[in-house]
Amino acid sequence: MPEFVVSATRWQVNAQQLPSSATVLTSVDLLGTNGSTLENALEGVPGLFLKSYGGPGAVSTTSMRGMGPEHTLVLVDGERYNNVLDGQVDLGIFLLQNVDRVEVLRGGFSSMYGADAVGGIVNIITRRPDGKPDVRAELGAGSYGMSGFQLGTDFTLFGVGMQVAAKREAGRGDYEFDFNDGISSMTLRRQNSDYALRQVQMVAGAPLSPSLSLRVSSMYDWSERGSPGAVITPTSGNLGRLVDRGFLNQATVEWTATPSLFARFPLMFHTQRREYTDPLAAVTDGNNDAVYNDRTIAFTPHMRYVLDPSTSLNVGAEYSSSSVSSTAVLNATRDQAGVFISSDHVVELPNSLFYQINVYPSIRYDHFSDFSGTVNPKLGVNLGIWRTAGLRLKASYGKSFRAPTFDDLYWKSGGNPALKPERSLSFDAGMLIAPALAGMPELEVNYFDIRTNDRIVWSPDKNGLWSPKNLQNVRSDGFELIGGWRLFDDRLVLRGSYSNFDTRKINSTSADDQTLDKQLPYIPHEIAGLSCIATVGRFRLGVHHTFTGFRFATETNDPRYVLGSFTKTDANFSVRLKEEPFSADLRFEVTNLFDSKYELLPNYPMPLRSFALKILVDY
Amino acid sequence: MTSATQKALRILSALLIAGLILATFSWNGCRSNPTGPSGSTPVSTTGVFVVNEGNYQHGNSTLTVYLPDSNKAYQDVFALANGRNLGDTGNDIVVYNGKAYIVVNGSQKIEVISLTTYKSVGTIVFPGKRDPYKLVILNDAKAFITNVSDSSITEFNPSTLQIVTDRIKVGLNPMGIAGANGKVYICNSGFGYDSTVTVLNATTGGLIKTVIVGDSPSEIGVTTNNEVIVKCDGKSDYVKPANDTPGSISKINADNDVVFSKVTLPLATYGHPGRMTVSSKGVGYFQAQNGVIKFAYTGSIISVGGTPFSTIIGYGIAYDDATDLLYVTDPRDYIQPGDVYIINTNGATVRQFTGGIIPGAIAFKH
Repeated sequence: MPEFVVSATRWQVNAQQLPSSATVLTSVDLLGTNGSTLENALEGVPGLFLKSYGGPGAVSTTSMRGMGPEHTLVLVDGERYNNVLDGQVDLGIFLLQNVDRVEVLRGGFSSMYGADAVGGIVNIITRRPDGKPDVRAELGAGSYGMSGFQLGTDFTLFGVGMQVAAKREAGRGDYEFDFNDGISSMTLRRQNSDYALRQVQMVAGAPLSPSLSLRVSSMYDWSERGSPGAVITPTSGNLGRLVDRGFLNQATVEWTATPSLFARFPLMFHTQRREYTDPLAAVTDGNNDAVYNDRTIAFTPHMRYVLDPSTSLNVGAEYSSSSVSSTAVLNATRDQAGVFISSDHVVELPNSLFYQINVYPSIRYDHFSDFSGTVNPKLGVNLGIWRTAGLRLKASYGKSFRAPTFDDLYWKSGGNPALKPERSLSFDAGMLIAPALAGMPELEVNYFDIRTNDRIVWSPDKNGLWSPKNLQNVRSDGFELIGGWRLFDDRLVLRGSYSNFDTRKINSTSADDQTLDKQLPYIPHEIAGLSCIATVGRFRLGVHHTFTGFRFATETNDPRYVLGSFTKTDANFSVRLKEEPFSADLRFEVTNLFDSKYELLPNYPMPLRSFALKILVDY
Repeated sequence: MTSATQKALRILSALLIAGLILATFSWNGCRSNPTGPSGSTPVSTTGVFVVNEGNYQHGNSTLTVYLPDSNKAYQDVFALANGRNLGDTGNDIVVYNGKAYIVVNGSQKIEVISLTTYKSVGTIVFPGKRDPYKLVILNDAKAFITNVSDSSITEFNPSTLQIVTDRIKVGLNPMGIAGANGKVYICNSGFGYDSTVTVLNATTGGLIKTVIVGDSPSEIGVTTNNEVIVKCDGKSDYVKPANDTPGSISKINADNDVVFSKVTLPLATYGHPGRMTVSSKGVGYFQAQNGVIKFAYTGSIISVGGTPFSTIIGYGIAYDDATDLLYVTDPRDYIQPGDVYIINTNGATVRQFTGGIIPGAIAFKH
């Protein structure tokens, strides 16, 4: 259990006192995972299931608590990062560097963040420049032509703390996989799966006055990769190419007005561009390239007023304007305005058994220029029962919503401007045991129930034209068991979890509906993970083992078309070669140690065992 | 807390964690992988074959065999007979000489099965991606198939299953194909950006003529008088529907390859017409926005019904000349098993059976 979390209320709060379940990946945790993208970092997080179309660089999305990728809100330093076109984030091309921590909060959070925070939120919190001079470098190479480097430096210029960092990773991605279509069985290599990911970051931070500080950051990323498609035949191969560019700029003024009044004024400008080219696409109007451009500007001032040591009031507003221009989507603009207010109360009770109660009411209203507005309240409670054992009970109940995306509303061949937002009611309750004693394990159990109405589903009409409609009601309920144990002054860290999802369509959308009460396709009933990080002197070993249950590939849950369950084990071993005057580490990674053969989507084989060797230097 | 209690808690915790480690590494979930149901293949000398497309790139195309005598539909017959799935997106089926030739578009292949055992007697796997779509068999040694993504057709020998001539270039995105009078007629749909029928010499493969019919020709049939009937979808412009063009039906004289009759299908009445079938009785049927439309062709006259022959709005359509029954498929929502309706000459639905996901192409064995 982390010590604190900032994503739940936008301000730092004690993690154990939260009404929701949270996982925090620290910079140390991130170093302990293989790979270099957000996808790699999130693998094994309780309640979170990743869907990938292939190996490194492939499109990858997340599902939290059985919901879809568009129901997970991804934030960068507290600001919305989801693409306004499809509501998703491609985790496979999001390189992580200069990340201080990644906070994953399970459950609905529209009462704080607005749209799309239905299954949960993922907040990537970058490292703040501290002005201490520092130079970092990383060089790596691995299987299937993987190579990469990272360069970063911290310095102070005219009193301004600066960070400049660049990272690149590329590879052929032509991994081997087994193919069997019943006629022939063979080992093939993935074709057109090369990738090149690049990212440049610049961060500047400086105090403007004793009570004011300014932080400005820019992140430019550029990726180019093949889109190899499903493997249907030994020779089938898509020649499609994807080029993505993103430019994220954030400027935040922090103001400590009084010892009890704090305010932030974040301004964000985010633009993304995706180009998809497929020489085999059966389009004959002279242009088979699809281009998507979108841009968003957002201003989210918010403040925290500490009324007394036990009560704080949080108030904020958000205005954003998004626009899109594309060959496939009608040009459109969306203005959104929201206001939110929340508070947190800590009440100490004069009772040795029930010693503390924390109450978190919150409510938010959002108005959109292109569909109806929505109000989302939430109430969370956390009850401390047995201080020594660190036993706490927690529960929350609230509304959330997902906004129709630009694709949903304005797709040229089938978009539906009459769509309304999906609405959800979520309840979760849990128990946490986090003894205050060092060396004791922590255990957490959570139950959740998310009911979504008017879920947007693309379906064809009688003329075969696909278009989205507010069709489905879905209930996703389940539970999570989470354990952690830190031993020997954190030299041995064990984490384990088991998550169970029952995600079913609960309304009939046609006569004699055979999809009623069936598990949604590609959502497993169960996932589990175990990780172990051991540090002995200069040596460090990390092992991460995950289990993913079977998934149905059809809405009717046809047992003939099932993606089988699988286990996957990753391991890494690093040794510190030098400590002074600079540190140097050699790191060896093995991904899919036991050569598991598995697919996360039908006919998209995942890589077998692969290796990587990296050298990390910090001066 | 006493030290004894602390010790007990530590031991309990250690046991829990150790148990968790062991359980996780050796554990394969609370639920085991489902397995497919067992079933039986039909035993019959007659039947109706329905190819169910399945979902794109899911590899769940199936074959349904319906026996009219017992009014029973057998599902997934190919997989049951062969121990493997049919493949991805079955688009067409042709019954010929005791065998059924099933075009499996996404799998880039033709599966050939025995009509008595349903077992595979051969497979033509086409190299590369071209998306084979519709086929025509002219005789024991000559057959052609359109490659919709490659703007070409391929000649193969239906007896030896060998490719004779691959990738013969035609117009854009060829779909329907038929043979008449020693020639092959190919509908170049262009998905709205072509409007021609390519006429090739069936013997040499040489181009005889390119005939202009209407926007997006997709379906083709041959009458008992050796006339070629072509249905065009018309062009769809989803961004500016006002730019849509209407569909049409044309008749081509197979002697001189001239369009000698054409009727336009107004958008307001029919929308963009769907699939078409031609009977030996001088009538044909096509899918329209308000149901199945019947049309009659006599000489140079094509008369199209203004009101639906049947109000079933379906997808696949096939006329069984032997029984004078029309089969219309309804894919429902395209994600669950669809229905097949059997309609008599009066337009009344006389029977109905369930197919697989997206039932489309139909063939008859008598």
